Amino acid sequence: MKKISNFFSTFIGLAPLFLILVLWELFSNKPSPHFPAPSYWLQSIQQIFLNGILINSIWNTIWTFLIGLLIAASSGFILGILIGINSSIKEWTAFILEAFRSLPPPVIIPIAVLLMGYSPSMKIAVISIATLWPILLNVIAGVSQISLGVIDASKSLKLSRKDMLLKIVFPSVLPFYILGIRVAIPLAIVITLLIEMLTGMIGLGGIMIAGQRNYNSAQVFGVLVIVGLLGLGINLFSQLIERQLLKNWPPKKSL
Amino acid sequence: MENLYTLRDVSLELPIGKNYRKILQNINLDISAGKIYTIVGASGCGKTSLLRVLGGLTLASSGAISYLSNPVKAPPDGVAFVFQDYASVLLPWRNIAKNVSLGIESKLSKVECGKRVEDAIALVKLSGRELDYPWQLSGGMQQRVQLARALATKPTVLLMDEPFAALDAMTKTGLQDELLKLRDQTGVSIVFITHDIEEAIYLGDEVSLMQGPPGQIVERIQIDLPQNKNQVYTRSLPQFLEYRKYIYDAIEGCK
Amino acid sequence: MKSSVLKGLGGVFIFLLAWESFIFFNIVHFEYLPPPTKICKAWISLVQQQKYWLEIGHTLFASLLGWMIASIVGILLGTTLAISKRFRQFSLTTIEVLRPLPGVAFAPVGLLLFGFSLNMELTVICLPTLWPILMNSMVGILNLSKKLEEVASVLKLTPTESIRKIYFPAAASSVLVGLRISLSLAVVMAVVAEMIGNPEGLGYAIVREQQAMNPNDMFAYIFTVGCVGVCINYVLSQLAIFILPGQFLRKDISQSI
Repeated sequence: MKKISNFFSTFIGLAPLFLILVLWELFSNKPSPHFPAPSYWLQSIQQIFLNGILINSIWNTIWTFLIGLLIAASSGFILGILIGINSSIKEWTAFILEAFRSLPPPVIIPIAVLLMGYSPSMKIAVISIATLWPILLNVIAGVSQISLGVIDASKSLKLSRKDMLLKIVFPSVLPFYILGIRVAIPLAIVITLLIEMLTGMIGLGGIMIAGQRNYNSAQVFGVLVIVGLLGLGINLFSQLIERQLLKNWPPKKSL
Repeated sequence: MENLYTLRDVSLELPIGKNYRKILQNINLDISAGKIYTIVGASGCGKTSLLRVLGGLTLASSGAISYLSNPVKAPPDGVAFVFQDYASVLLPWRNIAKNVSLGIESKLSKVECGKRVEDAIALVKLSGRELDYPWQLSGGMQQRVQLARALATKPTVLLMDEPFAALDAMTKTGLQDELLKLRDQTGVSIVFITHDIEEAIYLGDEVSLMQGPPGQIVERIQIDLPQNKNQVYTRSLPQFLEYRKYIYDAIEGCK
Repeated sequence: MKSSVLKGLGGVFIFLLAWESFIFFNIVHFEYLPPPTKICKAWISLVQQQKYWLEIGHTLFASLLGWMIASIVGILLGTTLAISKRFRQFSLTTIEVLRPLPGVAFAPVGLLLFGFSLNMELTVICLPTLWPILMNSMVGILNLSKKLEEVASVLKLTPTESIRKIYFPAAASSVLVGLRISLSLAVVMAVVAEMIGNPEGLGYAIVREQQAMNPNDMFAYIFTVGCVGVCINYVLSQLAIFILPGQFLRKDISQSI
């Protein structure tokens, strides 16, 4: 019973969106260059789907963003732990890390283009570097909040250094690590799309810019919807994974 | 009876800012097997520091402290520590059974470890709660989990830092009696810090009065009360009241 | 000076020194990676040119404009959502669906509709900037204690008065945090929009220098963008302390959702 009412309330919540789409469809000047009706979006999406471009672009966007994220997630974790457990390294690197964090990720792109040219490795390098910071900084914060009491207790239980790392530090850091990754994911998507738009490389951003250059507005809006769905899907998926990984932790205060 | 701990002229200095502050001064203490030693004194007099020195968590600056004739330079084998702030020393991502096994799981076989955990949990009367998580338990129960974790290591000496201070009166008295039973069953020596004078007299075979800073043991009082202790009866015995008056006066006089 | 501050500065110094010497000794050799000294010189020369300040001005102007639009809409919507349960019922899912949509995806839309212009920038800036303000306003008001509602009804305040005199000030700290985050975001989105479309401002300057293979100037502009971000954040936090000293002088104000 509860599941049905939950589903129903979610459904109702989408009302404004449906309303806008329906009104748009009814009132637009069908093949308008600026505001084509949603049915036209569908048509143009069908087109690029059928000639294979859509699948190829989605695949390109996803795999570059995933690999970039993976590199950032692994190096962020290792570096974060190394910096976090060593208080003097933490002090020496504090300002540098803060400076890099304040740099808006998009500006890394022109640097990478100059240094590495237009290539998938440039794309992955930029995504990795841009998404490294939230992960790295969150892991460092996670290490700093490990209470001294736990460390004392572990010492008096005579835990080996390896055990302290694996049994105490790693699990303590996990919620922060996951938070960092959840912040990094939408950032990774944005950067991936941005690179594709700036360089015209293959991907969803690439099709959007191509559509814009050809004044194919239906294609632009259509791909916008796909990007939205992709973002939504990834968001829901990461929430699911987080709930699964953190199921043993005390419930967080949420929204 | 052999001394477990021998402390001669132990002093402790810690750097505070640019200076050194004397925390402990010329402590002399003997701990032998099977007895309960309570240390009582006002807040800030150095009781916790003394316990940490015994536990090998803080190293003495001068003097000789030895456990079973070996100088104490690190947490000694056979000595377990129970902290005051139970919430921050239990691992939130492990259930009760796994929390209790933290100190022994790398050192014993799975079978032996499982048995010890089961026994320890039974000793603190938490059988049946093995799969629960710390955040699901009350304060008193969490403190018992910490106690079980210490007991699972089959210690010869149990060091306890105001373990019941944060608990309500009824839980506290219940745990005091459980501690006495524990000592009778296992023969463990206990060094117990408290600022509650009545608790010190009720539990202790020997009460040390501490004054400071810098912390000094001004007097050691042997407690001679009938062994079948009862919260209401024992605490109204004339000898109990005499000890109480004596210690209150001594502490008043110190101020 | 505190030793940790000294060490932090020391770290920066070592980093710059390493950068400079790696290039000097040819340990690292990228054709377009200049050493810090060259970037510094380029920056000093830029600072003396009018176009540099005009570019900063444009980016700031676009960000502020987009941010103001987003703020008005965000606060209005956020407040309405907080107050009316019915409205929330019908809108929350839509918000959850629209929120993950990356602002950058609107750049081609903006280009289509408005060509190379300020309006294109605004298309990119407004939507992403809207969310922190909207969410923070809504959550800030929702989290108000029941007691304040009772105060409003006992004093028999009209809905407009309750909003103006009780709800808004109480929610203000959450709203201010949202505004602060949004402005920083607005600056970033403005730069993004300028990189893709509108040929004005800092974003365009960076891409222009990159395409002209002028790494010294490009890095100088990048450094500028970073500084602008830091300055804005600093100014806003000082402003927040000025407006609500009671709540913002505490250092533990949590950030957005």
